[in-house]
Amino acid sequence: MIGSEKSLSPVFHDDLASRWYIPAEVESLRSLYPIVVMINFVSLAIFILREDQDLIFSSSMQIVVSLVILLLLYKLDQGQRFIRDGVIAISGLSLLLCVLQFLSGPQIIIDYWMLGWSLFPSLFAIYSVSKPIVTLWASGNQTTRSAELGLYRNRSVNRFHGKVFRHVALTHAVAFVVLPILWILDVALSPGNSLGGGFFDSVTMEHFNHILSSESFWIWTRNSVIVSIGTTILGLALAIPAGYAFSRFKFRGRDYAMFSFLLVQMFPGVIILVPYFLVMKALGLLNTSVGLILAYSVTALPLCVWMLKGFFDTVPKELEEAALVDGCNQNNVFWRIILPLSLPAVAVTALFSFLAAWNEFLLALTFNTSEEMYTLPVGLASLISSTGQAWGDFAAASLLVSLPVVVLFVIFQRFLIEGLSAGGVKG
Amino acid sequence: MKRAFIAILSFILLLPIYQASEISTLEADGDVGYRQVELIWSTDSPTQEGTIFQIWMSNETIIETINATMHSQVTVGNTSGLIQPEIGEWYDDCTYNFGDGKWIPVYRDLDGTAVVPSETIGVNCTLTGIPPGIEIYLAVMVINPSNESILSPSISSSSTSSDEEIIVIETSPYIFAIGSIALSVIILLFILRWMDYREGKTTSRFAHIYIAPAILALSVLTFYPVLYGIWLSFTNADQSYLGDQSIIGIENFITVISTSGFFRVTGFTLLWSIVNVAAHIGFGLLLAMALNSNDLRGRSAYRTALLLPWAIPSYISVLVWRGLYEPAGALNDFLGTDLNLLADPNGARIVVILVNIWLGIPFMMMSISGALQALPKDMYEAAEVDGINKFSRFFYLTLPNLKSALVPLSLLGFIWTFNMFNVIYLMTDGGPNLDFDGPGSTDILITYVYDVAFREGAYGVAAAWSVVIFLMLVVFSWTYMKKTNATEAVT
Amino acid sequence: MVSVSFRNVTKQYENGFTAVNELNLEINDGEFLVLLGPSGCGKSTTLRMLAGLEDISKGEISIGSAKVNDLPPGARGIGMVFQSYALYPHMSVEDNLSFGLKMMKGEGRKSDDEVSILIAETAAMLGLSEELQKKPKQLSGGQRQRVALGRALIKRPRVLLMDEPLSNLDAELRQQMRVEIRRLHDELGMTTVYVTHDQIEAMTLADRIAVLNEGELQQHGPPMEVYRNPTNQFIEGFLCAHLNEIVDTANALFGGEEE
Repeated sequence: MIGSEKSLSPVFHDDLASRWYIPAEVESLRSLYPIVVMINFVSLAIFILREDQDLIFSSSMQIVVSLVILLLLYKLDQGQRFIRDGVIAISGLSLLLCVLQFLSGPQIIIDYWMLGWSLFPSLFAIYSVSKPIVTLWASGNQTTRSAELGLYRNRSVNRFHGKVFRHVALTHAVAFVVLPILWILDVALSPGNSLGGGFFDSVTMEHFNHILSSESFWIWTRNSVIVSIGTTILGLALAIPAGYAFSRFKFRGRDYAMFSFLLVQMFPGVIILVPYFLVMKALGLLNTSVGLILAYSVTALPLCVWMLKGFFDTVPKELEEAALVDGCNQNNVFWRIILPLSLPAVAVTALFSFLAAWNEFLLALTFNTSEEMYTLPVGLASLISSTGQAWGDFAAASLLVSLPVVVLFVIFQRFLIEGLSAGGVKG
Repeated sequence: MKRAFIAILSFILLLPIYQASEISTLEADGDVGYRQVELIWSTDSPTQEGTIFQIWMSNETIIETINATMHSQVTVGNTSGLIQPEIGEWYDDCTYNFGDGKWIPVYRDLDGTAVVPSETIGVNCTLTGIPPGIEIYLAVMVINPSNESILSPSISSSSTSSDEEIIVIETSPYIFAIGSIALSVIILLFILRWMDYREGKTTSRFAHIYIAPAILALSVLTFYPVLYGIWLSFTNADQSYLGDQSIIGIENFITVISTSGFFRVTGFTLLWSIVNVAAHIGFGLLLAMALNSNDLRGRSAYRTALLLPWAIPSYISVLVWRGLYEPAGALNDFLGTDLNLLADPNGARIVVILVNIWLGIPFMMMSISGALQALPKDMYEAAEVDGINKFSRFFYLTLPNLKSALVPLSLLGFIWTFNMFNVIYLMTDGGPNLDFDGPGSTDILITYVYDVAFREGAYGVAAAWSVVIFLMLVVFSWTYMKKTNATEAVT
Repeated sequence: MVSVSFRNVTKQYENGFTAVNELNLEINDGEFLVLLGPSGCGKSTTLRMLAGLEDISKGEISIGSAKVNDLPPGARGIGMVFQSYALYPHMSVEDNLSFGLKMMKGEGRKSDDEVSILIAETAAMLGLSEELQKKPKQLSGGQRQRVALGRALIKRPRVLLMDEPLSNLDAELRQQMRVEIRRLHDELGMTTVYVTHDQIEAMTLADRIAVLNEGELQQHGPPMEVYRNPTNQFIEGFLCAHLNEIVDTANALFGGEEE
C-alpha cells in the first residue's frame, strides 16, 4: 500500500534547535508592542480631549514610531543584524520623544501612567535587544549548541514574562474596577458636597454622622429590611416545595410547569411594569410593603426554584427510600429528613432572595412613591435628585449600604455560580 | 402748532420706552403636585430689558411686601450664553411666552435666577416649597427699568398636602379577574392530579399540591399582569380616565410607531445592547483567560476585586459613576480634562454605555470562567504535538468549543441589557433631550416607556409600547437561536 | 527512520518527588519499543518528556542527532496517540486528521491537493473513509481511537508515540487494534515508542521492551529474552510470574489444547 514514506515525510534537519529558536525577549516584545500602540492611541485621545496641541503632535509621532518598531520586530530574524540595530535606534528615538513630551513634567497620575507606557517598553526593547544572546542570534552566528542553550533559557524567561504580563493586565483591570470605589470613599470622607479636589485631602466623619442620625435613612432601612425579609420568607415558602416536587416527582404537567418558570425568567420585568402598577393600585397595595413583597417573591421565584431543584437533585434517593421503608409517609420524609439536610442550600437561596430584594430599584421606585415608604435604593437616589445634590451624605450612605452586601456576596459567590451553572449555561 | 405736533409725535414714539408694564392677568393652580403651586401671569405690554418680576407669598392678602416673603424672581434681560434647562430639570419650572400661547422654558443665569428675553408677555412658574394644606396668597410685583414697582393684586391658592393621586379606581374587576385565574389554576392542578391518580402513579400524589402555591403565585402575579397588559394596550387607559377606558383597537400601536423618534430610540436601544454584550463577552473572555492559570499568585484576590461591580448594588454604582462624570467630578480631575460629557447627546451615549460595560463584565467573566474550565484539556496537548501555536489554539480550539456556552450567554446578556433600566434612568434620565414629545437622546425603549406611563400617564400607550418591545425581543431571540443553531445538543 | 536516545534523563518535581531517575536508553531506528511498568513508574512521564509536554530536569533527549530538550512538541517531528484520544470535539474526522497539516507553515507546508491525498490515504489505511464527515461524538470507541492514530500518522512522523492507547477499549477490540498497530508499524517503518502497563500487550507488540519501576529502568531487551532472563526480582514478579500464571490458567482451562 504505502511503502517507505520518506518522500512524503516533512523535511527534518539536525540543526532543529537553531531553526526553531527565537529568543524569548523577541517573542515577548512582539506581543508587547501591539498593546503599546493601543495605549498610545488612548493617550492621543486624552490629549485631544485636553486640547493640548504640542502633546497631540508628539503623541501621534509616538504612535508612528511604535508601529515602526513593531514592524521591525516582526521582520527581525537570524542574520538580520541591521534590523536589530534599527530597533535599537528607533527605540532610542521613542525615548527621546518621551522625554520631550514630558519636559513640562507629569502632573497627575494619568500622566505618569502614559509616561510609563512609553518609557518602559522603549527601555526594555533597547535593553533586551542588545543583550549578547540576542546579538548572537541576530547576527546569524547562532550555533546549534547555543540554540539549544537558548531554548533552555527561554523556558524560564517566557514563564517570567508571562507572569509579569498577566499581573500587569490584571492590575489594570482592577484599577478600572476600583476607581469609583476609591472615589466614593473620598467623597464620603471629605467635607461638603464637592465632587472633585484631591484625594483624601481632609477627612471628616460629618457625612456618616449626618446619615446615621437622619430619620429618613432609618425609615428607608426599616422598609428595606421588612420587604427583603418578607420576600425571602414568602419566596422560600413557595420555592422549596416546588423545587422538591420538580426534583423528585414525575407528574402530569411537570414539563409545562418547568417551562413556564423558564418563560417567566425571560419576561423582562419592565414589560409588565405598567399592568403591575395598575393592579397594585387597584388592590390598594401601592406604598405598602406587602405589594413589593409579592412582586419581588414572584420575580425571584424561578431562580430559587432552579437552585433548590438543582440541590435536591444531588440528595441521594436512597435516603428517602430508607425512610419510606421505615414507615414514614412522603410528607414526613420531606419535613423531617429533606428539609434539615438542605439547610445550607436553603440558606444560600435565602441570601440571594434577600439581596435581590434589597438591591431592587425600579419596582420600588414605581410602587412606593411616598417618602415614608421609600426603600433604601429609592431613598439613596433621592439624595442626588435634581432638587438636592447631597453627594457627601449619599456617599456615606452608599458605603454603609454596600459594605454588608459586598461582603456577603463575596463569601457566597461560589455557591451562586455553582447553582447557576448547574442547569443554566449548558442550556 | 408745528411744535405741538412734534411734541405729541415724539411723546407717542417715545411712549413705549417709558411705558411701565403692569400685571394684567394672574392665575394660580394648587393641584399640580405636592407642595407645588402653578402661577401664571401676563403683562399688559411686552416687557423691556431690566424689568424684574418678584413673586411674593403670605398668609394674608398682600397689600404691601413688608409682611410677605419673596419666593423667587424672574428677570427680563439678555439671554445669550445662558443655559436653558428642560422642563423637569429645575425644581421651579418656569416657561415664558410672547403672548402667542407658545410656552418656552426660561433661561437660568449662574445664580439660578430665571431670565427671560425682552418682549416677554407671559410667564408660567411652578413654585415649589409651598407649605401644603393651607391657604396662601401670592402676588407678583413688577419692577420696571425705571425702578417703578407695581404690585399685582394677590391671589389665593393652596397646594395639596399629599402627593397621592386623587383618582380612585374600582377594585372589583381586578379581584374578579385574579380570583377566576386562581380558581382555574387550582382546578387545573386538581384535574391533573386526578388523572395521575387514575393511572395509578402514586409517587406523585402530592406533587401537584407541592407546586400549587408557586404556580398560583406565578399565574396571579405574572401571567395575569401580562394578559392584562396586553388588554390594556388596546384601550385608551390614561391617568385621567382609568377604569373608564374603552377599547380603541390598534390606535395605540399606531401612536407608538408614529412617535417621532421611534426609530431613533429603537436604534439606540439596539446599538446599546449590541455594543454592551460584545464588550461584556470580549472583556469577560480576556479576563477569564487571564485568571485561568493555576500558578497565578493572588488569583483569588484578583477575582474578588474583579467581582465588585457585580457585588455592589447597581443603583449605587450608577449614581457613583454619575458623580464621577459630572464636570466637577473625578473624571476631569483624573484625566486633566474639562469635559461635560453628560450634557452632550453623543457624549452621554458613550458614557452610559461605558458605565453599563463596567457593570456587566464580572458576570460574563465568571460564567465564561466556568465554561473554560469545562473544556477538555488533552485536546490542547494534542494540538501542541500537532504544531499548533498558542494563538491558533485559542482561535480554532477554545473559541469554537466555547460557542455552545457563549450563545445562550450572549442571548441572555442581550435581553438583560435591552431592558436595563437603572443605568439610563439614574445617569441621564434619557437626556439630554432633543425634543419634548419623544424619547431623549439616551433613552432606551424601556426608560421611554416609563416616561410615557408615569410622567405622561398614558397607560394604554405605554402598554402598547411594552407589547412592541416584547415582540421585538421574541423575534430577535428566535432568529438568533435559529442562526446559531443553539438548539443543537452539545455533548 | 531515526533513533531516539535518552541520556541520564531525570524528572524531578518542585516538591522533591522524582518521577524518572537517570534514565539511559537507546531506541534504534525503526524499532518498536514498549515502555512497560506498573502505575506511577514514570513511563508516561518519560514519553511526555520525549514528546515535549513535560520539561526535562536533567539529562538529554535526542531524536536522530538533534538534541530536542526544550524544543516545542510541534518541532520534533513526532506523532502522538493519547489514552483518551484527545480528539478535537467540534471538528469532523477529516478536519481532525488534517488540522495539523493545514496549520503548517514554512517549508513543510503542503498544498491543498497534497493534503487531500494524505487525508484519503490515511483514512483508507485506517478504515475511516466512510466516516470522514462525522464528528467524534458520533463514532464508536474503536473508531475514535483510529482517528487519533490517523491524526498522529498523517504527517508521517519520524517517531510515533503512544500512551496506553488501548486501555479504554474492550477486550476484543483491543486484540484487533494490537494487530492493526503492529501492522501499521511494519508497513510504515517508523520508530515507535509505546507505553503500557499490560504485560501481554508488551510481549506481543514489542521488538524490545524496557521495564520501569519507580522511575528507574529495570531491564531492557527483546521480550522473550527479558522473560527468560530477568535480572531482578521486580521483573520476575511483575513480568514472569504474571505471565506464567496466565499460561497456567490457560492450560488448566483448555488442558493442553491452547494456542
